[in-house]
Amino acid sequence: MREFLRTMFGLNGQTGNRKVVDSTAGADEEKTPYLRESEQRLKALQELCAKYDGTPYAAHFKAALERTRRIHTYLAGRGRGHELELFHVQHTDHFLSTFTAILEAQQEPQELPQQQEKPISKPGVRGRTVVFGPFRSERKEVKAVQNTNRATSQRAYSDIAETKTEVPRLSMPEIAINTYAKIVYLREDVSDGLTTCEIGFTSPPEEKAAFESYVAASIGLSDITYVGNAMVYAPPQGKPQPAEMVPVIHWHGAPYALHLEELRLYPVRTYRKQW
Amino acid sequence: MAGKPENHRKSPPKLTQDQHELLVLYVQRLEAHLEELKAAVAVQVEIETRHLRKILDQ
Repeated sequence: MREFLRTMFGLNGQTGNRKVVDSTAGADEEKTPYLRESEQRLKALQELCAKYDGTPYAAHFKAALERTRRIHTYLAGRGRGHELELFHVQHTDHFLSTFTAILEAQQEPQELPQQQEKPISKPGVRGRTVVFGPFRSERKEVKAVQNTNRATSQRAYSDIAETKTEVPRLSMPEIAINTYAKIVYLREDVSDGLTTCEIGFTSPPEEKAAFESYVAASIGLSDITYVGNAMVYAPPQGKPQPAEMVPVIHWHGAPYALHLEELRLYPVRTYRKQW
Repeated sequence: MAGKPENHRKSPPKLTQDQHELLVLYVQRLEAHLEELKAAVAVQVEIETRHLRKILDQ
C-alpha cells in the first residue's frame, strides 16, 4: 500500500520537501555536516546538564535534554537534516549560550574551589563557546572571510615586495615552565593598601585564583588560567635587558607570557601540546 | 528561593527565579515543538490518504 502511495506521488513528480511517513531517506551527502554539528550540540547540551547535576534544577535540565534528544532523533531518523539544523539553531544554541553564561557569571566571584580542576580542563575553549559558537567553523561565510583576508594579504605582500620593505616576522618562542621559582606582585586590597603576593607553579589553588583575578582585573580579560612562571627576555626597548621570570597565563586556547610591569601579553608556546 | 542544596565539593550553580522560569518554559517549548512535528506529519498523512481515496474513487 505504502509502496503504491510512493509510486503515485513519485509519478506525479511530487518530491522535494514532501515526505511520506516512515520514509527513511538515506543520509544524503550534503546533510552529513548538519548532522555532525547537531550531534555536537547535543553533546554540548549533555555537558551543560551534567554541570547542573545535583541542583534543584537538574530534573528540568534532564527534561530539556530528553526532549531535545527526542526531537533530534525524530528529525534525524527521517533524514530531515535541514529542519534539524534549524531546530538546533533556533532552540538549542540559545539555550546553551544562555545557561553557559549564567553558569560562568556565577563561577567568577567564587572561583576558589572551582579552579582546582579547571586548569586541566580546557578553560579557554569553554570561553570561546559563548563568544563565537563552536559550530560555525565550516560555514560558507567563515570561508569567505578567510579568503578575503588572504587575498588582501597577498595583494599587500606583492605591493611590499616591489618596494622592498621588510615584513616583520612574528614569533612564538618556546618557553619552559619553571616549577619552583616564585614571583611577587603587588595588589591593592580593600583599604587601598598594597599587599605583596607570591605566585608560582606550586602555589596553592587559592593563590593561583587570586592571581588570576588580579590579572583579569588589571588587563581586562576573563577566563584566564595561571600556568606557571618562565624565564624570558622581554622584547628590547632601548637598552638590552636581562632575562626575567614572568608569569605565563593561558587564555582562549593559547599560552601568553605576561609582563607584569607593562601589563603586556606575549604569545608563547609551551612544550605541552594539548590543554 | 527555597530549597538550595548544601555546598558539597564545589558550590553548585544557582538560578534566579526568572532563570528558573525560563528553564521551565524552555522545556514546555520543546514539548510543544515535538507535538507540532507529530501533528504536521499527521496532517500530511491525512491529506495524502484523502488524495489517494479521491483517485481511487474516480
